[in-house]
Parts: sequence; structure tokens; C-alpha cells
Amino acid sequence: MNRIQITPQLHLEVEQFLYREAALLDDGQFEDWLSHFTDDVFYFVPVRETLEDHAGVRKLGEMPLFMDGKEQLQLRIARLRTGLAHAETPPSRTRHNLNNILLTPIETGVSVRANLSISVSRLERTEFSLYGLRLDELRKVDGVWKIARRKVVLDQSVLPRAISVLF
Amino acid sequence: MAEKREPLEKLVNTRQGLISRHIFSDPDIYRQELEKLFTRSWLFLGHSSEIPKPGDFITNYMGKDPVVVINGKDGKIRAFLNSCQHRGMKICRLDAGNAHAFTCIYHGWTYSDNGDLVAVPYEKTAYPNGIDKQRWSLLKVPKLESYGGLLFGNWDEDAESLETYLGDLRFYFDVFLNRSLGDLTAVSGRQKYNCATNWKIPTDNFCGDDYHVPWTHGSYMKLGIMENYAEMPNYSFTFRNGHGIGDISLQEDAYSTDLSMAKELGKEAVEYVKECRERLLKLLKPKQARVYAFGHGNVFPNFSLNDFSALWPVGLYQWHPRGPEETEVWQTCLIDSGAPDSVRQAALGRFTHVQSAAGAFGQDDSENFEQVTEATRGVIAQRSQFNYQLGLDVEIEDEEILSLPGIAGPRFSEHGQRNYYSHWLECMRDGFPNSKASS
Repeated sequence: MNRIQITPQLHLEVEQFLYREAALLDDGQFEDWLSHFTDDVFYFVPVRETLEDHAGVRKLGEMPLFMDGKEQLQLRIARLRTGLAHAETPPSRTRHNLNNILLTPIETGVSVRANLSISVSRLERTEFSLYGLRLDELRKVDGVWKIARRKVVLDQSVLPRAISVLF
Repeated sequence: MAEKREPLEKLVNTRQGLISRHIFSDPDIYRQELEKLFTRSWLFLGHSSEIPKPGDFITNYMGKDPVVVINGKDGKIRAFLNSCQHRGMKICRLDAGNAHAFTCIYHGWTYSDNGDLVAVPYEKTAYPNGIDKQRWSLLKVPKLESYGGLLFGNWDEDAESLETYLGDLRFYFDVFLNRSLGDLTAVSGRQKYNCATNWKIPTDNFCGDDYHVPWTHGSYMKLGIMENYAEMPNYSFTFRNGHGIGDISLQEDAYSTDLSMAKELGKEAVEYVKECRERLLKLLKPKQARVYAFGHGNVFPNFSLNDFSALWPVGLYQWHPRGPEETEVWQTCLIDSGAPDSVRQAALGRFTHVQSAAGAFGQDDSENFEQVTEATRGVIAQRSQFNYQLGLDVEIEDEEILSLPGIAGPRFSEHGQRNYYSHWLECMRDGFPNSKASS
């Protein structure tokens, strides 16, 4: 199978796709955001610890923060829309920032490595940021890029607060 | 400068269900709690399955004191203050691992897995007059006991045994400890997050707060994920030493819910749930088997559990005090090694979605805990009290419920919290009532 060529045009296309997706989160357009994922998406956020044998990233089957398929992501969004998800009602103000974007061709499309930082401001003085590495696998479905796999490896071992935002 | 504080008895009136807001923010009370409660209570350290092999270790905190819990070469589990006895550096900076010895990075003092100081660099030159190595072994947690793999430590050499400390709570713990077909095994790794609240706000919630569920977690009722909570025929129970649990029923409603949830997962999940129940009926007293699961509970002072059913993991939560208005939440969970893969996977997924750092309940509870604290520290706020009067003087009539161990109360009751704070007051005022060393 021919792998995709990484061209400046592709870079621009993928970056714009990811920036738009991040903007949808910051704007609270969660349903539109979810449409950027394939139906078989796996959305995985492992727990980060200080361990000797590897980067301290817990593996699949060990303790995660998220291990969602599309249905579980839909449930999170449906919950946010109940008006009773108090941790996000009123909503937190967020900025999802992406940088150091690296593209690598893979059989199914392209994988994207990026540094992710999210600043969160909530109510009066609740302020914190989450930051780490984000690894996405993008695949074209009917000619449109979709995220087929997302793994976010936060750098924080003790999270600054319970996580009520998506990334 | 704040007004002079009233004596503790005036601040905590459990008979009338009135508790001063001071105890949730006062730095002096917080300091006393660390001294009086956290040095003499049985504190959760971890689960034996987290350190199955010789040399395996995990780190944790007992109050503000860091500890390292080690499975020794001799197969004995010991816990030590995680601090070099020379000049205090942490001897272990990892969350978990395997080691034969612990060498302090500051000056290189080395301790064996049983805490002995075994090597001091340049010993002859550095200490020409000799050093009493035995005297400078690691500070050992004098008492470490396990109940069904749940490891607890106590700094009080004269403390009553863990079994006695847990008392009648064991009747309910025995349900989840016997229900699994294989071994209850900890999922490796811990979720940890901060919550800007006093550590008692979440612990008293786990102790007996069923009343908050339909409101705080109303999103799940609106989505139809949770049944009409208020209608469930459940009760709450309190125990000696301030422990409390909720969601106890003899109607086997948790079992019926499990069966319908299992149907969605497939035939092997249905079989699994049936086998778990069979096991309970075979191993436990009939009434105990019918308990099937309890929703939530707290072991005094700061260790909470969830046991919703056979299709959920057993959730384990520590609310580490980090300041009068700061708590660090540590959580992990136990899953039955004998459950089919589909059940284990779904259980872990459910854990992440609900009572978890990024779960619906974890998020919404945190919002409450933090904003309660925000609205409690003011001068005028501090002059008023919290109302813990729910279920005061309400008696249970159901004979079968009354015959269960512990003191039964209605589902919606704050008797769990009143019991928690009476024990808190007793310990804070008189020292530990159940330690042999108490006068």
C-alpha cells in the first residue's frame, strides 16, 4: 500500500483540521467536535506516574483516565447537555493549544504528534492547566479527515483538579 | 485576628446535628487532626495485589507523612516513613517498583527491604568513632495488618487490631471479598488529583450521603443511566469508630440490575453474575448473601470505598489532607481476576466514567466540595453551622434490616455523618478511645 506523502500542503491541511477541532471544544460545540472522529475511534488517556521501567505511562488494561469509544464520548457530551452536569454548568473557559506538530505517514493515513496544553478558567478563581503529548491517527472517510485514534499522555501525575473538560 | 475559638464540644453537636464551619477550615484544628487522628487511626496503605512479588513496593501517605510499603524478601509486608534517618531525604521517589535496597541519593545511606541501615558511605572515615546502624534504621510503621488484602497501617503501637477497628463493617466487606470468582486484583496505577477542600467534606459524603445523589448526580438520572434513586428500598448503616456505609438493601435489587446490565454484555457476563451470586449463597449467611453489594462507605478517617455490584470494580479512595482547605485524592480499583475479559473491560470503563478523576461523579462531587469550601471560610459564614439533622430521631421498623450488623438508618439520613463526627470529637478531645494507651 502506498503511504501518503508528507507535503507542505498536507501539513497545512492537517493542522487546520486540528485547529478547527480544538476551536470547537473551546466554543462548546461538542456535537460538531465529535463528528471529527471515526465511528470506531478509541480515545485513550492513561494515568501518568513516576516509575523506573518506562516513561511512567500506564498501559492499556492498567489505570486510565479515559478509555472511550464513540458511544462513551457521546455519553459524555449528552451529559454535558443535561443542564445538570454541575462541574461544567456554567461551563469552564478553555484554550486548547497545539504546537510542535509532527506528521508521520502510516498505512491507514497519517499520525500526528503534538504538544497539547489546555488552560482552564472556571467560575471566579479556579484556574489550572493540563499539558502533555497528544498522538492522533487520522484517516480519510469519504474524502474527509477523521480522527481514528487519540491518545493523550498528560505530563501531570497529580492532576491539578478533577477533569471536566475534553481534549 | 479571629475571635477566640469555642471548645470542640461547642463546635460539634452531633446530638442536635449542628456542626460549626470552623472545623472545615481552621488551621489549628487541622494541625490537631494530623496529630491526633492520623497518628492513631488505621490508615489505608494499598492492596496486597499491588506488591505481589518480593521487593515490590508502593509509596503512599499517612496523613502528611510519606511512607514506602515493601513486600520483603521474606514475604512480609512492612511500611516505613519514606525519609532517610540521616538528614531526611526521601529514600524512594517512585510511585511503585521493585528494589532490593533503598539508597538515599543525598549521602548514600542504604537501607534493606526490612528497613535496616545496611551501608553508610566511607563509614570508617566519616564516622571514625563508629555509628550505631541499628539506632538509625528506617522508622517502621509499628502496626501493619491486612483485611482481605486491604493493607492498613497504624503509628500507634497500642492500637486495637484492624479487625476490631473495622468491627461490624467486616460483615459488609466480606460480601465483596467473597463474591469474586478469582482474586480481587488492583488495576495498576493510581489516579491522583487535587481538590480545594477540607478532607472531611468528601469523607463525610462517602460515609453516608445518599441524599446528594439525585441532585449532584442528577445528570445520570436525566439520561436514564441511574434508576429512580429515591424509590430504592435502601438503608444506611453506622458503626463503632465512626465508619459508615450506604445503599444497603435485602431486596437483591443490585443483583437484578446486574442481570440486566450483564445481558447487554453477553452470555458469559450473565453466567458470571449468576455464579457470583451462587458463591455468596454458598459461602455466606443467607441474609449476608442477599446484601450482594453496598454502594459507598468510609473507614474512619479518610479511606472510602464503592462496591456497586459484581459488574463494577471495587473503588478505593484516599482523601489525603494537604492543608486545611486542600485535599489530594488518590484512587484505584479492584477487579475480579476470575471475571471474563468482557466484564473486566466494561468494569474499568464504567469506573472511568463515574466515580473517577474524569468521571461524572468525580467531577460533580469536586465542584461541590470546592465551592462549599469557598463559601465556608468567610467571617459571617463561620458564625453559622452546617445542618446535619437529616433523619434525626427517625427510627427503622423493618425487623430484618434491624437484625443486620451496625446501626440502621433510612436511606436519606445524616446519621452516618453524625456518627463520624462523634467519633472525630471523641478522638480530638480525649485521644483515641480504643487504644490501650489512652488514659
